[in-house]
Amino acid sequence: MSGTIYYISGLAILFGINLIAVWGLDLQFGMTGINSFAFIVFQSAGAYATALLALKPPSSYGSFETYIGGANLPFPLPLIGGAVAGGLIAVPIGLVAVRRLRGDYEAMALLVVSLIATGLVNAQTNWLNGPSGIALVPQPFGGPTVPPQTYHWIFLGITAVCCVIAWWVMRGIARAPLGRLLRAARDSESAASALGRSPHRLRMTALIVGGALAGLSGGLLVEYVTAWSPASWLYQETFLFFTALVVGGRGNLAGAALGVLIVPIGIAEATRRLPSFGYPGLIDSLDFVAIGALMLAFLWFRPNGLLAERKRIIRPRDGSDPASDPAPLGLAARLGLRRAGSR
Amino acid sequence: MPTLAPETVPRRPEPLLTLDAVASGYGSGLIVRGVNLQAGRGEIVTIVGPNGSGKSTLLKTIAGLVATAAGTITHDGAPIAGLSAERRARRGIAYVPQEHEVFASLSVKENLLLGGYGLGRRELAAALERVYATYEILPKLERATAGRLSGGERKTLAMGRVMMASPSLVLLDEPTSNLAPIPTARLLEVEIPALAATGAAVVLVEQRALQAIAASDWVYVLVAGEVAVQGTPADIGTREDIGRMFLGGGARHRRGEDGV
Amino acid sequence: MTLLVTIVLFGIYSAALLAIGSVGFSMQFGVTNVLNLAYGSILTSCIFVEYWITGHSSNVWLAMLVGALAGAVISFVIGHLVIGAFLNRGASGFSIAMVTIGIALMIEFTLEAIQGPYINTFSANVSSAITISGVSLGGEQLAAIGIAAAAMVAVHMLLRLTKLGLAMRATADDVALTRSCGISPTRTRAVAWLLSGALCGICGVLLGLDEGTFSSSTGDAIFVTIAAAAVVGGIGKPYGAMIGALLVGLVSEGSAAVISPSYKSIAAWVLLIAVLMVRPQGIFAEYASRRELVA
Ligand SMILES: Nc1ncnc2c1ncn2[C@@H]1O[C@H](COP(=O)(O)OP(=O)(O)OP(=O)(O)O)[C@@H](O)[C@H]1O
Ligand SMILES: [Mg+2]
Repeated sequence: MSGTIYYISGLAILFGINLIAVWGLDLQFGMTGINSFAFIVFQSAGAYATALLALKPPSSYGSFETYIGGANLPFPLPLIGGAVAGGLIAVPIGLVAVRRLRGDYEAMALLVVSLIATGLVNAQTNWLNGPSGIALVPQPFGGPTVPPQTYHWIFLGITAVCCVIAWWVMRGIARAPLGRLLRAARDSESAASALGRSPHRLRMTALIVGGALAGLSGGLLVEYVTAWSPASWLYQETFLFFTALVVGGRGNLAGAALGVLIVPIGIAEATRRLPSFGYPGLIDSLDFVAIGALMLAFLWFRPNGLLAERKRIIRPRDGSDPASDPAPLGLAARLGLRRAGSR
Repeated sequence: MPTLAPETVPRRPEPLLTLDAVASGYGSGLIVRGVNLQAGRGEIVTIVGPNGSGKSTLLKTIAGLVATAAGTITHDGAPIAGLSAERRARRGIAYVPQEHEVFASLSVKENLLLGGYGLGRRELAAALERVYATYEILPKLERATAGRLSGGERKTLAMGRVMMASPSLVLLDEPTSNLAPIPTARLLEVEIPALAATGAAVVLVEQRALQAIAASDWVYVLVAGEVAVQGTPADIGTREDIGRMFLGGGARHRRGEDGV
Repeated sequence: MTLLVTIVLFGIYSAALLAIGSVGFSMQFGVTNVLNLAYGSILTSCIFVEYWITGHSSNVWLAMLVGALAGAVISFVIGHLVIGAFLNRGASGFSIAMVTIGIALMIEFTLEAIQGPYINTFSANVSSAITISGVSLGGEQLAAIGIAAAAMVAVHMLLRLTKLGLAMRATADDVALTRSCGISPTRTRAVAWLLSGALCGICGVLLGLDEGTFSSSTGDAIFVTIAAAAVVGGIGKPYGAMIGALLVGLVSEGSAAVISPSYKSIAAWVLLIAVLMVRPQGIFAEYASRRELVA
């Protein structure tokens, strides 16, 4: 029984961590339309930054691993550092992403950016300990004296606070004029320009804020699992987040939450509890087969996801009736759920 | 639709192409609505109308590049509205678009060979010879890349390509738009009539309305996706409201103006 | 001097392998306008099929034949049937990118599920070697260069000398105009998928033989390098892809020799990004393609 509670609380932590990341992706992709296939780099930047800020210098672990820094800062500074790193890495990535390429081209370019980042970290073993990655990341308020279940509750609390912050940021953006501008930039570049905003700057803003959320999520994740290596952020993980968003529904906070519940938690994490069969890792492989299939199925049968974004309609001047082009109604509308971000 | 007094209705040839209440458009909105149109063998039919009135869309609908939303299109006695563009092309319907009228990355000769893609080896050689004889600049440019030709040369190449297959119906979307006055006159007054003289029906969309109207057998005026007026060049030339239709422009003004 | 000879010889060799894959990738993109991010996983599956059918040590020619057939079939099913169905529904470029990545993941992890976390070894028996200025190229490597050259000539003849090739180039140039010439783009697209799959298979088998080992993720990294060659040469232009492959081959071998072997692929990928940023139509494009690459 206590094993079950431990397991469930662990899933809840992962749910919160993934949710923050998927909200960040929703800001970049769902709201702004950037095909952010380098998304995992934002999360990873946050994870590495948090790890480096929380760890002591390498020498204090007998040079068991090599990395730059080791600031040994107290909670919550490493997490804040993670969010900042996620936002900062948006700048070089943004150089690629704000140049508007055709959608699939942009996706490929960013995918390659993500591979280059992994390649660099692997090749430069003295920056971030190369392929072996960084371990022994200290946990906030943790230690040998804290029982694991108690620690789960502590960490769940931290995660919940971070989720609330992320929710507040997302909701603020969705309600602010910025949200409308981002959507305008997504749907038509000229519309954004007409409103007097540079679409480039809008896209960069979305990248930075979304990247900061991803960085925060990465910081939490590395503090929870205490280790981070290039294998933690392969391009498949980006696809995992995208699948969550496509399944749940883009452009609304609840859709992202539902997607996270189904994809990273329901498929990727929960199946770890299945009685293992085959060789170690077989279930993980099958998870990804299922996730790929789920993505195809949703793109085919329900491309707007379970909770579709409500079309925000700007009434054209010439008096034609926009209602004659009905927006697809999502499950949320049918269930009468109120979507965050819409008045 | 306005009709002319019965005694002035001239005889038109037996129609090769008949559009009956055709509607079409892109996505959900209809651009062309309820168009009835005919073109007979050997006849030159010109469609004129203000910018954005749907002339190009109508030609694309006949060519099969835009789906027919309603109505029927009959070519040579058979309904073709459900056929793909390539099936229509194989039936002898040739189409020269308003822009991108040649394969820009291919050579002049390759463009012509594509025009005669369905032909056998020997027919192809004969067709090439015929087209080279008609359009004398083409053999000199044989190896040039089509994308590097001048606007006028491109129009000529497009005409040559279409002629390779000896089509029964030729759809030309603003063939004179890049031409200087002399080649324009030559195209409208010599080449197109020569094409019609071979028995082909020619449907022409033109901006240079007066010149094109003069060279044609029948004229349709398309306004806001509907045929506003049709008639012989003489009729159309004498009507006073035509100029107003052009100046009045597109759909927005059309509704309030039912003088037609 | 030896360094330069090494870079040039191995650059040509890498380029030869790459060219086979990138010509297929580029041509398929040109004709179908689909950016196939599953190309790498098709490549991987060809190696697996070849390995299952002919065993770990086989005749190069047989291996290539099997790889080519497997590639053609898989590429046709994925591209023409599955992606084609999504395209017929009017899916956007980005949805198609998602579909291709989804397919790539399904293939890659199905193969991983079948093989387990193991690395397979693979070799073929080609003998003899030549030595130029103290740098020696093995028999496999010479054979690969020869095969690549033959494949390029075959693609060239198809595109330039046959009616089908002309129709394929026309489809790549302008689909609407091609249809107005009475040519069905469905057929030329089918051929493009088949042919690019076959080239992908040959490329995969040769790469597998070259590396000597392969796993379910072999195609991932190679794919990006193949894409780099295609993009550098101007995607959609098979001839550009040949030159692009040469450039990418030299750049990767050069950085492997000068910086460190771990930078071999990274250098090619950085080149890809640089070209996408500065000249998305490719550095050899004469004039910008009508096909929009910039949104
Ligand atoms: N591919 C397309 N998708 C959506 N709308 C289109 C498309 N092509 C044209 N339209 C719209 O259809 C309407 C009619 O366009 P069309 O090109 O048929 O006009 P036209 O009479 O040929 O004009 P012009 O004289 O300028 O060539 C225009 O409002 C145009 O914006
Ligand atoms: Mg037009």
